[in-house]
Amino acid sequence: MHMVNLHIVAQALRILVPLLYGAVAAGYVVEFYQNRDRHFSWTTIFFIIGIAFHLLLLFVLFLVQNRLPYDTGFKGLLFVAFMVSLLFFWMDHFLGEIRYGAFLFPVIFAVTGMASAFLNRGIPLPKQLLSFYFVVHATLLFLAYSCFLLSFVIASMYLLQHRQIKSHHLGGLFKRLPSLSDMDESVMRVDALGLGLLILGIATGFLWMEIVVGVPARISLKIGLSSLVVIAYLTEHLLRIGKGWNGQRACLISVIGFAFVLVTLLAGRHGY
Amino acid sequence: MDTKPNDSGKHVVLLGMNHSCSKAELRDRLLFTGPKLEAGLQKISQDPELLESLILSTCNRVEIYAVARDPAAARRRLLDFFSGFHGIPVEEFEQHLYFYHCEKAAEHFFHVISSLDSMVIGETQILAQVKDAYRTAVEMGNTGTVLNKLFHIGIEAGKRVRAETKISDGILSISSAAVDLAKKILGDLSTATSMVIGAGEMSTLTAKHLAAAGIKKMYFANRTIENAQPLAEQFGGSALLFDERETVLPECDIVISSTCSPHFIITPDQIKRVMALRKHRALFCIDIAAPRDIHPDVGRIPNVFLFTIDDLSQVVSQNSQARAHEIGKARTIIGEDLEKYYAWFRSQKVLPTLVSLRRQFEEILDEELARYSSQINTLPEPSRQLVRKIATSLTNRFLNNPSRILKEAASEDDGGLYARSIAAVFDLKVKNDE
Repeated sequence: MHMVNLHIVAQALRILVPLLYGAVAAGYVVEFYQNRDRHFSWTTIFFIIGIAFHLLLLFVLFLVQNRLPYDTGFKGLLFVAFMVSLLFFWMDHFLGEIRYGAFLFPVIFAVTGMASAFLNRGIPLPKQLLSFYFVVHATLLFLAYSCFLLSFVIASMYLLQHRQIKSHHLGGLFKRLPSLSDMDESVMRVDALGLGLLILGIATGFLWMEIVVGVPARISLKIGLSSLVVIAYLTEHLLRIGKGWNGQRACLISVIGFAFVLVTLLAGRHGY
Repeated sequence: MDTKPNDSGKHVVLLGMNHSCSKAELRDRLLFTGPKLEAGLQKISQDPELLESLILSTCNRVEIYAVARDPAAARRRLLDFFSGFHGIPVEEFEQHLYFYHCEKAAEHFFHVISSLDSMVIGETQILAQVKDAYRTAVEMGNTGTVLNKLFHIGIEAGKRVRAETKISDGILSISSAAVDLAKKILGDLSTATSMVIGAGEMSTLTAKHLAAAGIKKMYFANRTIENAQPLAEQFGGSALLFDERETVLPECDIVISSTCSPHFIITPDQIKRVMALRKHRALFCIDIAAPRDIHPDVGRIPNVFLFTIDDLSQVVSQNSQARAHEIGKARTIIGEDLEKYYAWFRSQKVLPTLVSLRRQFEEILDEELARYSSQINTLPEPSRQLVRKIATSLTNRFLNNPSRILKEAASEDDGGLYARSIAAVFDLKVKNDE
């Protein structure tokens, strides 16, 4: 009976969470369009409720299945969306007015909507493989992907703003988008965080394979693609530090890096 | 509109070039700066064909206003003057000149002083520059009634345009837009450094806005330290010599350039070196000069954002309707004040007739008084004075209506006809140089 009730709660939350993020996305888009100053609004209330319900959904999923709430691709997406929302909450409320919501939340809405719709698809890992190392490995990777998704959105905004300023076509978006300097710095910080998490995630993945799966670490398609992601983001940072490739070039590399992330997620298989 | 000169045959003529039809390199060679202005005024005043003259020489224009009897001859004289004074063959600059006379010349001047002919519409510097040019011409004794009237009415029109329209708000919008743009590129300006190269109203205003936005440091570079020092003191910055600019450029996030240099003073190679030194941090360049101070290719360098006045004008283009409205209002004011000038100018057509008429009446008065002098002289002194007073009063009363009607007719363009009729009726001998 207890489990049945949790299933009903999970089903309800699967519908409610994307709807709440949809409302948040609409709210941020309207605020962005109206070029409003940062203030506590209905959007903020929906956002806080959305995050709370999202956390509750992940917890209920954990209780219902008695396993990690991100043991399949779509659950992973739901987890990534949650982490990105948390990151945004931290950036928005602790780094001041940055107006990324109008661009980020339509993506969060789409991701949570898709993840909720196909939540039960995918083959979960056998329980014996879900060791401590896997939890750390998967958590770190999803956190890294969350960072890369966030930085992809900000880098896209940067490139949009950059294009407007360079071409002297300063339309309505120009006024509403944050400064190039702020966006570039955000991309750099978030990418640095994502890169660190990704490297740690890959390292713990090797440990998991060696210790839990019992397979010696070897190059697979997924590891190969993940390496490309590491190379892309590492290149961004090395060029920033060494050559002073800030701004447009760095953001372009960041966007390319995220393309590798998507390929890794969609096409990458460990092969064992 | 009657474009004929008044009966004395005087025309206002104008020969000059501005930023829109000539390169600064050429204008530089034809400028009348410092002692050249007084020497030029002195030389031009010696030309018997040019009855009055005034030289307006600024960074963006060099114009000579004159009064002459024959516009075509005046044009030739002024061309020769430009050529002779500066030692430049006429063919090198003739095609870049514009020449106007009568109403066209007055209209152009009113547009100049109202800043509608300026590179930055709404700038206020031109009013002061015209006043200076006029003061110098008056002090040198080069002006007369025609130019005095033109400049008095014109200066008033210029003041009215600025007081009664919001045309000068445009320039504020542009400098404020430059600061908004700087914020969008650089973010927090409290950590940014700027350099203003040269001087000028726009760059000073932008510097003012940057200072108000809390910019960390400002440099002011000029060819002479004396010109840079007042700005540095005004905004709490540092004054530099022009040649020192490259040493400071790497630490600058914003560069505003508004010199009268005939060639680029900031080149792509220079900025590439600077960008390498500043680790390719974003650099915002504002080029306010005409011709441009900053090579356009500088804008192609990554992380360098180059804007000209025109680009900044586009930033405030959402106010273009309001701006067009203000320009329309300015044109209306110019039209009103031009009409005052035209009315005065036309009234000058009948002036010789009026003078002749009055002189004839006074002569008749004197003759009649002389004719009856034997009788008048027998009267006591108070009575003699009374007789003269009555006669003078009658003369004035007789002249009052013809004078008023003639002046009114002159303002309605019929002055010539009336003047000729009166001259015929009274058999006047009108002297045109009166």
